[in-house]
Amino acid sequence: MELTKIFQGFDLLAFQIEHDWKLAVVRLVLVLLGIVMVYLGRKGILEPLLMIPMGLGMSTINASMMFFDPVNMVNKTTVDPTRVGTLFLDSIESNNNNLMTLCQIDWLQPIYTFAFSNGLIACLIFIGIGSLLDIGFVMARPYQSMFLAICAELGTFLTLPIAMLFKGMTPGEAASIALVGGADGPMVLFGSLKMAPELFVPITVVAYLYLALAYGGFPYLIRFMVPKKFRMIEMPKEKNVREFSSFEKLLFSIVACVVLSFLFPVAAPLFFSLFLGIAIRESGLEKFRYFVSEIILYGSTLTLGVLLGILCDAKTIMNPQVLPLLILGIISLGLSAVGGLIGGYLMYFFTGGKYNPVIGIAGVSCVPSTAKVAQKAVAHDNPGAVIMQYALGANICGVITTAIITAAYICLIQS
Amino acid sequence: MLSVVKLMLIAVAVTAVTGFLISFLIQILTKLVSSRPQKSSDEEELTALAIAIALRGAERK
Repeated sequence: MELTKIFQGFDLLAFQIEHDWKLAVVRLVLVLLGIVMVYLGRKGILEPLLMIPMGLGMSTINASMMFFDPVNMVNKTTVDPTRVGTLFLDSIESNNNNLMTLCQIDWLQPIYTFAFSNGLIACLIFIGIGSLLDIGFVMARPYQSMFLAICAELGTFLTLPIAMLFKGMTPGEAASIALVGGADGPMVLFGSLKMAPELFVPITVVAYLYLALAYGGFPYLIRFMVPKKFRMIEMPKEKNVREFSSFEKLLFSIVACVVLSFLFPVAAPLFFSLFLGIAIRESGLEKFRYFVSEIILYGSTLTLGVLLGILCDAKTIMNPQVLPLLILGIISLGLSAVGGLIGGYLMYFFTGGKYNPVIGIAGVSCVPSTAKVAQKAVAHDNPGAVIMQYALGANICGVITTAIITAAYICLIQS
Repeated sequence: MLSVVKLMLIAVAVTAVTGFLISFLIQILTKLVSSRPQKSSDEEELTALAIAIALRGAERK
């Protein structure tokens, strides 16, 4: 018996080197990239909650490829000897009978088919996120927060025509990649599943990679766009700032959920998930709150990270559309941050110079990372300046506006 | 080109209007809640008074 038949990794590698060496090289690069991602996550340079499972998944899936044709093996039809696969999952199979076969063979296929590709994991993460949000910050300054959040969606708006005109993408594909500017992973996953299912894997991978980098690049953008004298502005002390009771926050979450679901039924799962999390937080159900903010949130995040890594096999990454997606994703996120800072400047002018423009970047809804980035940038130059409450208002509002835009895009493109 | 820009502008308008609506909703709801009559604080005072009377009665016995 040949050794390559026992150590099947060598069998496939030798075949790929002979027939498609580029694929072999990309596999090796992705194995190494996965290891680097785990390292960067461990060091805290990138978000460890996602990078560690994702990196290990990416390395493992690219290492564990073999000649494998499970559907034909089970159905006892002619096996394709050159078909490549793994025992993890098949993201391309769409035939229902074959999917049921794969669910019994590939260990992650049931989770992928029944929880990932239908948006369930995105909604579960959103429930967990909702349970962490204190919407009191939004309710204290609703118009101001909403204005900044809408400005901080500049990238989400502008990337749509850029992608369609310069890359010839379909409206669904362009809208899906534009959503990266909303800086909200579950929204990107949900939106791309609805509007561009054939591209949702690379789009989601791009989105999560950039979200991990968001708080790396934003401080430099702030320093570039906002001179020191503006960064140092202290917000005036507000008189008679109301504290909102749990009842008021609960009431708002119920009414907003119903109104937004009525206006945009296509995104009702997203709105329901977000406001359910908020409602659980504000209703004092501590055991539920613990369950959704710890077990559900972390369990879904872990599953998402693993699946994203497993989906990054060489063939998916070698899709010629991945590079334009990478570029468009960064354009979208960058423009959104610029838009947020422009919104901050507009507030500065509207208030006669009594508003710190840096707050605007917090409208990019990476909660609470961008609010912390804004506060840190301001405190670096003026330790006495506290903008966190304003930044959190814009930050949380950004989640709501991104959900609205996702719904608007899905409605406009599917109609 | 025009249809693409039109799509974008419609998305902007929809988001802005809905965002304004949500902010307005917050304003209306908070005004409605704050204009509720202060029944609960009166009830709490009466309850505290009743407990104090009951305790005093128990002490005398």
